[in-house]
Amino acid sequence: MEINEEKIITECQIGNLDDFGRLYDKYIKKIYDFTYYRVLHKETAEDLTSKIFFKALENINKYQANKGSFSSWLYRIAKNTITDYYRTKKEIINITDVWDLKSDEDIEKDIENKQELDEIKKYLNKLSPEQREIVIMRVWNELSYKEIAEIIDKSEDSCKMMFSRTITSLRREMPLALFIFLLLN
Amino acid sequence: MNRKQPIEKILKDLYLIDPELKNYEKDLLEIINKILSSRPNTKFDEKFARSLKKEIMGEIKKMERRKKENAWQFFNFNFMKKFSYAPAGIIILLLLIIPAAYYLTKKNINLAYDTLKITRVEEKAFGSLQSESPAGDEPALAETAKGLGGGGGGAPVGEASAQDTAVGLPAPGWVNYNYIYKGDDLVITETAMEVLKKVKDSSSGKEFAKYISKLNLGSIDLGRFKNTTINNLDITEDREFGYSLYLNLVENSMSINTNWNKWPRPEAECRDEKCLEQYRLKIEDMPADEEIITIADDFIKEYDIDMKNYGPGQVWDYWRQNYEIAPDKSLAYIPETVPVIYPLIINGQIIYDESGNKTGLTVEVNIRHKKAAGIRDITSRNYISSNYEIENSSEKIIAIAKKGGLRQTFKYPEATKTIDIELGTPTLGLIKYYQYNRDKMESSELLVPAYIFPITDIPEETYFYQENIVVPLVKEIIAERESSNNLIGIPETKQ
Repeated sequence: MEINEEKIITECQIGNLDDFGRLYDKYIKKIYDFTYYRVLHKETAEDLTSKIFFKALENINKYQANKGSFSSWLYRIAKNTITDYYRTKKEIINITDVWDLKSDEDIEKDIENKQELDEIKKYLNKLSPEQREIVIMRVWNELSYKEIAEIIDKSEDSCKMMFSRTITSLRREMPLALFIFLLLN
Repeated sequence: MNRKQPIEKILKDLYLIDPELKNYEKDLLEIINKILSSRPNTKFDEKFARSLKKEIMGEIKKMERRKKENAWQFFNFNFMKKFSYAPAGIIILLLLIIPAAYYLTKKNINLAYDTLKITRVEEKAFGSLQSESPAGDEPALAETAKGLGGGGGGAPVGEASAQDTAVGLPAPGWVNYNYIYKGDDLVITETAMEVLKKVKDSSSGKEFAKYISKLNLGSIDLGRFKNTTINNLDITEDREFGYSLYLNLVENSMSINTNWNKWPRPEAECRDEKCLEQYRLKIEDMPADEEIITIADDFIKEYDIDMKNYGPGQVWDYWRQNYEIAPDKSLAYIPETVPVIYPLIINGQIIYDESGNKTGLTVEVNIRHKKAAGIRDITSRNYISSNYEIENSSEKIIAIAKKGGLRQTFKYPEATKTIDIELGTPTLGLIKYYQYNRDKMESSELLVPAYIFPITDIPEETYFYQENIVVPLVKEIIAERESSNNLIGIPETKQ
């Protein structure tokens, strides 16, 4: 059943948190998936998802509807939590997700996805972190351009343009091997 | 998973940006398909989701408990420390309040009346919403002219009295008001909406009485009084510009009022008109609205009053219309105090009174001294909510609005003047509505869904202070008011 998100948020902001659980139900899988795509490790994704929701609960008073949707606010918390995780883990400030890491770097990853992930990583690594972020958000997370724009603090048009350019450049650079792979699949 | 839909959407968006890309549709499809097919299996675990939810809801319960423990802020010197007392008073106060506060804390008694709590219960849980009294007993048109929030917007003919003439108002004559709806078409899809009922809780008074009964009052043994309740508490400041704090433990409300004994009132010493005249306020004494609001805001900050359920303060300049139309402005009344209303907001909706004025916390600002004179309506926000059937015929709702809504002025068969009042598209709000039970001789406060029709245009030089016309949506309430000639039952007269 569709929930009246705006009403629930207003209630939570004035201290009636009973319905926070309904917001949780709506977003738990989305936020977990968003996190998983950036850490590729189940336990880490669960640990970070837990932190994300507790941060959201503590800070729900600070959410301002006129500055963007609730979902974007939640994804921004997720993005910052993941960045913090890598900063603590690697003490390297430039790393924002698992895709920035080299293959031999010592970060836990789920082994089951390894082959597929290595394959896609070849192509995602050709992209700048920002392009990669938009591709993952648009295609894997199925976020709207509006949500993406609010999360990465860019305009909707520039997100659309960046995605279009990224796909165009992937098309140009798609190697023969990938064509063969695609044809065989 | 059906991938077709997201891929189609992604492609459509791409073509909008660069139509040329359509020529490479096959390549694009393959690329997007490849990215999608390599989307990792996130192994989302429902068990983890349930366990985390349990943990979060547990934390929420803990937060609520912590809030309750801190809830008696009224006794928690954030509030009390603002009051200053004579030394003897302080000793008595400390002897009484500190142990009482300790006792009440241990008993976890909630005296923080502004903590909002809404408990949902089953449909129609309050029974009939109609007042359990004969129709004639209902507070009807006659009562509407009382107080700050009451009153039909117009001046009923019976009140075109010597008092109005004394301040230079023209006698209104036999005036009828003709409401014209100029808003958009209404579409009401819901069949039921939430009604809130305020919960009264006298337990704090009983618990407080248990403590008081242990006090030694010399010849009177309070322990001999049985099943006692403290109904109210009145605490007064002994200082210049002091206040008194009134706590009503039956209605679960409190207010801060002016302690008149400690406020300079030179006009009270006057014995003749000439003396009174020199103290009469003039229009130039009236500060700008911004200054009045700042005085009220500062008062709220000083007393740590929790404002999270209220919107920003708005000056209610009810007196200004009278002033504007007074033929001799030098004689027009300038009030000693002006209210600043901080509207209550529940479920994201503003609360109105039956006359369409916003209602909530009210800070009275004393114009002569440029100080807050007090605050009222700090009251329990503990409600139960239940769904009730609503009227979803937009024609009927508009018809009621065109007759003046919940508060109507009488239509005179021989009116000397008819004034057109235009109404705009309504917004959904809640109105404070009192249901009276004659058997129990008590009234319940309800918050009822209503359409709030803004008054968008009234002719100049018209005394009409209502800003909105309200139409309750609950069918039972409409039916009750119809049957008591108090809503749409008043016969219309031909204009």
